[in-house]
Amino acid sequence: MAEILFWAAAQRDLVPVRKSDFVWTEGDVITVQRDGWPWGRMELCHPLWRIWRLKGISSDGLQDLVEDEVNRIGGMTFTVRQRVRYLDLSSSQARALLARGYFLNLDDRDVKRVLSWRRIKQVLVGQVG
Amino acid sequence: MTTTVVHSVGTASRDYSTWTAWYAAAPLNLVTADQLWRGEGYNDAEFTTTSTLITVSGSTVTDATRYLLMTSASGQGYRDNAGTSGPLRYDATKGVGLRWTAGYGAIISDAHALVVDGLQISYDVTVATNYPPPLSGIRALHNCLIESRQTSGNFINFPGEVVNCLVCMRGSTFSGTALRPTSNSPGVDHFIGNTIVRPSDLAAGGTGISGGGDGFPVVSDNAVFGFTTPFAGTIGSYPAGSGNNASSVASGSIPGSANQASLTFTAQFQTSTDAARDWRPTSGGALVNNGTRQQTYTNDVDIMNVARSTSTPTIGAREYVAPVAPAAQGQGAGISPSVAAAF
Repeated sequence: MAEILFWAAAQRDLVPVRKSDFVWTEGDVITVQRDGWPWGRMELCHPLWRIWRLKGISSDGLQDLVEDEVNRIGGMTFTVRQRVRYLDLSSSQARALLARGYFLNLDDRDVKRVLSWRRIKQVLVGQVG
Repeated sequence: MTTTVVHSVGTASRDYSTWTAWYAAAPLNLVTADQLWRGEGYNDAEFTTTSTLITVSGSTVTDATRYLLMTSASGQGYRDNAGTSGPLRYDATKGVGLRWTAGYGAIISDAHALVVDGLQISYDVTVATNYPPPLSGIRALHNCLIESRQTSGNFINFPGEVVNCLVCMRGSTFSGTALRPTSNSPGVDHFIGNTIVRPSDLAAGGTGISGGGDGFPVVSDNAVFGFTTPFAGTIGSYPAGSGNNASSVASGSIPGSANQASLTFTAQFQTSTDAARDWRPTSGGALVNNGTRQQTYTNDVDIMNVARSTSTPTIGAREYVAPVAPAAQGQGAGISPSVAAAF
């Protein structure tokens, strides 16, 4: 099983330097860890974070959620923003799960839902491909 | 008045269990918050990862006194536990260590807001890493033990300062660059008092410090060995302040003045072969007493927090420390002859 720590709401105190897209946004996964991970005190109570234990899913199978978005230009690689993908938490089912607490053990049905909420972020305006 | 916000990072009931979460919790604007965001690692277990620990990406507003700092907690770093007589190399049993264990990617990327001090970092995979570089854009690396087994590409890319660090390139082959300065910024980057090596039993290859189109850093008191090109680019273009470096190449291939040239690699370190590597300087080597004082950067201490000579410091990350003679019998306990012999 795997456990994910993610943003249940967008990061605040926004004063972006270059692009607002650099900040953490709702549904961004901070880290993926194995089942039974010894989470820290602040991770378990951060008001904007949640931890979900996903039954039957390996942490390797969720690594795409912690990949950063990069651009390759002329052989150089630049980080464009945190995380290529995110969890779409806009559904009523997602909001209900978020409301249930900081740390949840999800059952098979909810795990399937969470996996279906994976999305690729929209291309940034002005991004060079 | 800037507030230093300290959080523990480790896996035994600390504040954060990962460096990624520690960073994610930082205010986006540390200047407005007037905070220095300090993470203190605990060596509860080695920090291993296969995904990027920190990508700051410019999201965090910082200045000279308000930034992100990764370091070890008191008693948790190799400076606290390795001992001055132990081998100088990555050893996670001696202190907080971060190790990349599989695949291809960056450990720390675009981290211009980040200073790393007193940690061990290992890129422990034999891969060709053209991009992204494993350590990229870090504002400063101070007093770090850093190793990589990559076979190509840049390792430490665009650091502002690299001071008192051991950088060891352990790939079976190597065609890349250990330290690459910030592009088009001559004299901005400072690489001071480092040991930058590739073990002597591995085929020489690659570049130690690059210059040229990448810009030219100030290089002083660096011991650079085992590379095909220890210092790349037009040597005369390295900025003022460069000098007192040591390498096996001729003097014309080392920037600045007062360099130690044409040295025998294996004579400068305790053990220069890969498996038993120990990058402490030897007593009879040319690194000893041939550096110049760099207190602005080193604070007159070495990678192990041992005082450096204020007149003739040792070139490289580790100050030479003369062995203490064993006390005569009945006069108290000295260090053992076997330990003394290791110096």
